[in-house]
Amino acid sequence: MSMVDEELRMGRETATSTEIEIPKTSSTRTITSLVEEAGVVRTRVRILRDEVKELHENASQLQVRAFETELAQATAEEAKRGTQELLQMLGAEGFSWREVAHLVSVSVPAVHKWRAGGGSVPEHRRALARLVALCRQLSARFMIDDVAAWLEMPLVSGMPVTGLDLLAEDRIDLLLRWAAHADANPEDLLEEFDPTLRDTYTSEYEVFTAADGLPGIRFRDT
Amino acid sequence: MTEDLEAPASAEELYLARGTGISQARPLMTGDVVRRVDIPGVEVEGDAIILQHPCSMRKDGVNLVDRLLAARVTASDDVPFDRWPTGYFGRMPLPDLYGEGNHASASFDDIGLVPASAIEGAERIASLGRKGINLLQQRFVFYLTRFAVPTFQLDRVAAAVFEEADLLEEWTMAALSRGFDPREAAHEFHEWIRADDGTGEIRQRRLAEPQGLSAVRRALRREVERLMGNQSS
Repeated sequence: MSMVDEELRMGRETATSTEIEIPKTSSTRTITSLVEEAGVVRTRVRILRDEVKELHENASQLQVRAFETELAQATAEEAKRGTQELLQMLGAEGFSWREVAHLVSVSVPAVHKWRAGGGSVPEHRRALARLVALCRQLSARFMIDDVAAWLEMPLVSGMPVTGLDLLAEDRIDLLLRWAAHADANPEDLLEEFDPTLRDTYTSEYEVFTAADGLPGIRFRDT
Repeated sequence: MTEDLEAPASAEELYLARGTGISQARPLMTGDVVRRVDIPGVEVEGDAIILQHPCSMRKDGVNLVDRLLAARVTASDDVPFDRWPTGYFGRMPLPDLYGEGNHASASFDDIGLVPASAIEGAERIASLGRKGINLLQQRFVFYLTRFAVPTFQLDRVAAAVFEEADLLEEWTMAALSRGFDPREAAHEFHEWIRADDGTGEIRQRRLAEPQGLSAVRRALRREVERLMGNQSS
């Protein structure tokens, strides 16, 4: 390790890419100075990479905070509507009542009672309003055409984990990253959501269409 | 990979509805518990749970097959959720079936074919939800074959049928609330779900794909409004 590299390593915690100067070159350069210069450049690249990563993380966190602030405002606005109207709006989006019940943490019969005009507590009304507001924001911000279908789409092919599961666990941050396609690999999102899921849903069996046209389960070919 | 039998996180996760929460508009389905039904060949008295697979319950999509496979349900001790994967393989625990703290179990030793008319005429006291039905099937298959099928695979097999049952319930519920005949409504629903959706695709086939579900639900809600609107019979 060169002396410059060592110095940089010692002061790494505070050094930024702009503070590191690449040594000026002279007309009579030696192998030693070239190696030293290369070491400085490599270090600067490493620090730059860390800074970019940190900036990206900060930007993601800010984006989530901004989205959640807007979502809270929109939720307050939507909560002015009645429970029945909110459910009509979610129905028009194409949600199943089972999903709505799950997201609001009530039973399906409770949702049916609300649809028929039964009263709900403020906490549930707010949860419904939040879902309506979220649909509107996802549609407006990320141009998602069919939010209900998008939320029912598996994150990773073959794994029964969807945007609805992220939402049920209040992982708006992961949902936004998925919507923005900031992550090249959705498997990273799945890993971050629950590292045990990949193992849980890896199976040597598969669903196939049997000779009678109905689905069945069999050993996977490969 | 999941190799053990699975368990619910709570009793609530197991049931779709119990007691007064059960919708009369819901079609009979695997995992429904009915009160006091004779099971031919079973001497123990009690209630019964439908074991028949969701895909083979109806012969024409509307009418039930002549006889349905069912298991006897009786009051029993509680089976803690952490014991579900490691024991009690001969039964399906039904926690809080008869009210909080009043548990029951379905016995896979006491099964038989019950005339569908007897089940249709009996009082439904509980309906398992999707997770509950998958767990029931997992335990029954394990009892019969010692083979533990992951519930997420079982769910994939019956997903379209579960979705169709939800849609039929919604359609029938709308019909009942407007005073229409539920049987007639069920027939109308089956005609509608088996029809082309206008793109050359049969609606019922769209239920097999998660991406097609929301469009079918939206279309159903529009159709219900168009057919029934604010009218009453």
